[in-house]
Amino acid sequence: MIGRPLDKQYPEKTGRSQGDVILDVQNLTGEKFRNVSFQVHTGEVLGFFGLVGAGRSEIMRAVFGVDKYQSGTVTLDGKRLKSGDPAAAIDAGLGFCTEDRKKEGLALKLTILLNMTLVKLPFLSRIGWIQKHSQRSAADEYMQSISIKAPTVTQLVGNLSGGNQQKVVVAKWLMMHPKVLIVDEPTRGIDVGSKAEIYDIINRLSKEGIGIIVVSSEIEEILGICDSVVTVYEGNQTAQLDITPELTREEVLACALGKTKGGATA
Amino acid sequence: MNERPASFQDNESKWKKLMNLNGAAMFIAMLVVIILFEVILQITRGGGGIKFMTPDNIMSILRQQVYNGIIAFALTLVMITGNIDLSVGSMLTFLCCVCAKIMMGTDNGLLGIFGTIAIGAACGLVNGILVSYVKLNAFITTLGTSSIFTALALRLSSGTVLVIPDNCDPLFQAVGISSFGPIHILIVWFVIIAIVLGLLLSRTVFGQQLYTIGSNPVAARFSGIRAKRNTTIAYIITGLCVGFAAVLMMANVKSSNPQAASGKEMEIILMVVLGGVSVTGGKGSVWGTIIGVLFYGILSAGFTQLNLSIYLQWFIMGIIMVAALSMDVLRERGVTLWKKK
Repeated sequence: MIGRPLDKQYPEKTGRSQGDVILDVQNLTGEKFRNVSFQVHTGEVLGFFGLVGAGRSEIMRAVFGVDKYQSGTVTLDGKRLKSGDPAAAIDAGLGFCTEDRKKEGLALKLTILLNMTLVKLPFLSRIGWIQKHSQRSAADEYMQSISIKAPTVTQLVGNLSGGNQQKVVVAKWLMMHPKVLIVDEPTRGIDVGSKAEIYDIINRLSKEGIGIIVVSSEIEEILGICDSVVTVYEGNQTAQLDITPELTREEVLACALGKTKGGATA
Repeated sequence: MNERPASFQDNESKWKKLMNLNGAAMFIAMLVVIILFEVILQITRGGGGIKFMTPDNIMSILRQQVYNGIIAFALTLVMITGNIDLSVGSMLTFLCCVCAKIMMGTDNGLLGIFGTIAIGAACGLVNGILVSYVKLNAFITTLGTSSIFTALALRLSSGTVLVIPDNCDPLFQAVGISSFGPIHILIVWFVIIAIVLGLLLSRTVFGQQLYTIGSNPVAARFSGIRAKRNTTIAYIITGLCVGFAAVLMMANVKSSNPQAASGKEMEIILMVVLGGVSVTGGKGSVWGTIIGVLFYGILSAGFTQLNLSIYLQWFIMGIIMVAALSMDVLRERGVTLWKKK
């Protein structure tokens, strides 16, 4: 049905290599989480696993700057990210594909063109004046490369399917060539074919040296595409585990349910 | 997938935007109204010749609506962010008093022009800060600042009519009263500001960010857009335009009446809504507002020519306002129903 054998649901993880630490979070504390510390290396796909409501999205929102954090540090490529400034985080090289694309990721009444180029817009302009041809070609390029199915870029985003809407959000951040990309529940509510395409994109990005954080509630997804996983239980970080063929889902689930375990800690 | 050349796709979307359902409907409605007025006047007055859309009439309609139009263009920016400014009527009265005071006191054209505009920007800044940073509801807040501006106007003028002498600074007069052949400078300003604000909205990063803020403020924040700053700038631009409108008005009329009942803000909001701006934000354009201004001007002139009583005029305008807002809301709901598929 999706044009590929079902057992090859997740792309091969070979060809990835991890470099230096690009994102360093130390003792981050906010309203719904405490003392979270982790590092992301270039080319690494780090999973964030936990039950719904464990606080993973809240941690990411604080790292990105949309919510303020109370204490701790966030450092991206050597640059300290102050609390509550998403524009600064974006400038430093952070991207965030949110959990709820309709509420937080897209302006449904506006066109694909605008939604996709929204963050990149200052770079497609000269002193604020938009270079329409640059904007258009950037959008066309990404429409093609991640195969978004719509007649033209002037189609309203609200008319697209879930999978295509998610691709618009992903394209929005890919265009920025971030150093670290956070994806929160990237395949929720999406058809199987688009799911596979998004896994491919994540795999491609990690091979290009981009650090990726995948927040997910699907254990299979985490084990399938991530290099390591941080488990969160009720706002506390319980473990950080490398994903090896020996790692069982029972171990990860246990950590997500509160059992702590030492692993590769920051 | 992209078989057509890029330039063709661009034209297609440009035309689609111009002739989108609301714009085309407005245009047609305007033509219908013009024909209707023409027919009625032919019947009631008899004699030959075009009665309604005479060149003199057209010029007069445009001239009358210039002040409202300039403010309407700026208000378009504010309403696209999903906010509103109900204080523009009293702001105009207040700034006319300011302008009159400056000219009466110093007779310095430059000071009169730029001083008034600057104070207008300050008024806009106050609105902007209250709505964006203090996060007060725009409707109630600008209703409040409206009272403040009215009070300031009364205080400044001590409740009397302020009159600028006819032999005041020629520069000041030139800004408001010169003509280039048959074209009055007021119409020139109207066109210039329409183009400047129209391009600001459609072709700059700032403008596109305003649309996003109006369509989905949460998504705007997640995309790094500085919503508070941008919204405040929109209010400041409104203040600047009200200030400029005050300057033009004082240069032409040369007297300010702080006691004049407003209701001007309702006229201006009607123009913006008729032009296709959605009250919920994210939709509309300055180009549409131009049509809204013209439409209102035509209606207003038509009613005057038909000698309708002022109460009947307000009554009909009120019905049109409610109809326009209802159509806007129904259109929004239409989109929602569709999505649930």
